[in-house]
Amino acid sequence: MPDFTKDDLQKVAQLSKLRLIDQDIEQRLKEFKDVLSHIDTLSQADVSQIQNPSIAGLTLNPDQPHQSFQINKALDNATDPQPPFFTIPKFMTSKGPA
Amino acid sequence: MSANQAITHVPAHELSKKLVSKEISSVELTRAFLDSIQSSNDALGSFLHVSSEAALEDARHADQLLGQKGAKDLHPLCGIPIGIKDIICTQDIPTTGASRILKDFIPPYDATVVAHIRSIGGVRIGKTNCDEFAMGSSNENSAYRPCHNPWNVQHVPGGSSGGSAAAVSARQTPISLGTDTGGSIRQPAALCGIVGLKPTYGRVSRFGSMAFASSLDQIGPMTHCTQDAALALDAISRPCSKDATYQHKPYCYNPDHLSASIKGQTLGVPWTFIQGYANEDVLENFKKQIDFYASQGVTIKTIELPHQRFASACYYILAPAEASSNLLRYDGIRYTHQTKDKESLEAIFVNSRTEGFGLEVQRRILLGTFVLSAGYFDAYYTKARKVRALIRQDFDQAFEDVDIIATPTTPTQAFALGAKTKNPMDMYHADIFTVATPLAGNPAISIPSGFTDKSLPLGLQLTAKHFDEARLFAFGSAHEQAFDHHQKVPVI
Repeated sequence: MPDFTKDDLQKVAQLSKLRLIDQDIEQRLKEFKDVLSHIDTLSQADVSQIQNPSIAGLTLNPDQPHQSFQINKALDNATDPQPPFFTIPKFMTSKGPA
Repeated sequence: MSANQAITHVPAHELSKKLVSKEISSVELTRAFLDSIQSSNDALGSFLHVSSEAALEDARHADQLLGQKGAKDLHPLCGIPIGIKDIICTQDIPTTGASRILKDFIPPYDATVVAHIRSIGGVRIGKTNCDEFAMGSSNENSAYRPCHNPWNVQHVPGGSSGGSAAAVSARQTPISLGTDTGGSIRQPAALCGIVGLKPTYGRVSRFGSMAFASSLDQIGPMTHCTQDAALALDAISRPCSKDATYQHKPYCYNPDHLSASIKGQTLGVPWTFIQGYANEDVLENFKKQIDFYASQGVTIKTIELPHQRFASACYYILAPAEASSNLLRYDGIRYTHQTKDKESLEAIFVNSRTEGFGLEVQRRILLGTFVLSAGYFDAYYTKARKVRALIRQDFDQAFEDVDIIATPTTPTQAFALGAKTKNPMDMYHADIFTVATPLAGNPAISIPSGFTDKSLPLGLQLTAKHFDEARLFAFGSAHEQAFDHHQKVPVI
C-alpha cells in the first residue's frame, strides 16, 4: 500500500473536481486508507497467465447516428436556455480565464 | 384481506388473467396500487416520485388495447403497473438518480427498457428510491430520504435498488425495475423477501440508465415470483440499437422454462467461500435449500472458485474507476445543479460537484480517480482487469461440471438503519456473495429462501451460464412449488 497522506488525498480531490473540507479530512483519509488496504489484497493474485484482459465473447455494436430529440427538448434542463444555445456563467476575462 | 389487498397481493401473471377476462380493468388495478403507495410510502420511502397521471394515462391506454380483439395475444404485462428505479430515465417524469446534483432533472427521452414497457402497454407507476447513482448496499445513500425494510422498518431494505425491492415486497407495485452493478438487484431482493434477477451482461439494453460502471451495470426485474421475472425479462430484453453492448439475444418467455425438470442436473456449491463469510442464520438456511434441491434429484457438487476471494477488491477498483469517469459529465455547466459560487470555471466545476454529490459518491470518485492516476494505473486498474478475467475463467470452468452455482445472496439478514454507515468497508462486505457475478457477466437470481427467527427474509442466489436465464427460472420455479416464502406479505 502506498504511504498515502493528506496531501495525496487533496491532490486526488483536485483531480476529481471535488473539495474536501478541512475538518473532515482526517476521517476521509482513514476511510480511504481502509479501502486501499482492502483493494491491495489483489497484489496476492497471480495474473501471469492473463495476457489480454478484454471481456471475452462481448461484441460491440457499431456506433451509428440516429434521429435524436429536438434542440429545444435537449435544452429543457439547462440552467439558462437560449435556444439553440444555452448560456453559462462568464469565466473569461480579457486576460484569459478568471 | 381488504378489497385492495385482494388485488395488490396478487402476482402480475395472475393479475394479467384478470385483465384479459375483464374481471378488473387496468385503471382499477392501477388505482389499487396507487392507494397502496399512498398508505405506506411515508413509512417506507420506497418511491421518490409517484407518477399518478402517467400511470392512469398508461392504464387507460392498456384498457383500450385489452378491449380490442386479440387481447389474449397482448403481452401478459399489458396493463400491469411497474415501478422504475430512479436511475432509469423516464421521459417527462423526474429522474434524479437519488442525487442532489440532478434534483430538477426531467429526462427528454425514455430509457430503452421504459420504451419497451410502454410499447407492450405496461403502466409507469413511479420512480423508486435508491442509493445515489446506485452506489450503496442499504439505500441510506439516497440524497432525499432513506428507504425502510417493509419487514421491519428499523432495518434497511438493502441497496442500491432498495426502493424497488421494498415497493414489491410491500405490494405497492407487482413489479419494479432495478439495476445491478455489484448486487444491487439481488441483495435488496433477498433482504426484502422477493425475487430479483440480474440478467446476463448484454441481455438488456442499458441505454437511458444513468451510467455507474458501464462494464458491469445491468437492468433487471424485481418481482413476487419467478414467473413474473421471466415475463418482465421478456419485455425489457427486446432489441435496442442505442447500446453498444446490447448482444441482440432477447429472452422469449416460454412457460416450459418454468416447468422444466431439474432432476438430474448438477448444482455447484463453493462451500469454503460461503463458510468464510455467511453468518450462522444464513448458513443454516442455505443448507436447507441445498437439501431441498438434493431431494429433487439434483446432484450437489462442491466446487472451488479460486479467485472469488479477490472479487470484492477487484470490484472496488473497477467500479469506482468507471464511475469517476462516467460522473465527470456532472459538471454544473449543462443540465445539473449549478453552484451559486461562480468566481471561476474551476469553481463552477468543483463547487457544483461538491455541493451536488453525497459522501459515498464522492468516496468512489476519489478512489476511482486514484486508481486511474499515473503511477498507480497498472498496479490497480490493469491488475484488476486481469483478475476479472481470472474470475470469469473460474466461472467458465465451473460450468463445465455444473449447471447452476448456489450461494446465499447475502452474508447476513437485513441490518439496522445506521449500523454500517460509519464504516464504508463494513458496507462493502454486504455484497460479498454478489460482486463476482457481474465481473463475470453471468446471470443470477435471488429467490426468497425463508426467514430468520426475527422474521427477516433471507435469499438464495442461483447463478447460471451466460444467457441461460431459463435454467434459473426452472430452479426458482421448482423452489416455489415446494415453499411459500414468496407469498408471504409484510404487515406495515
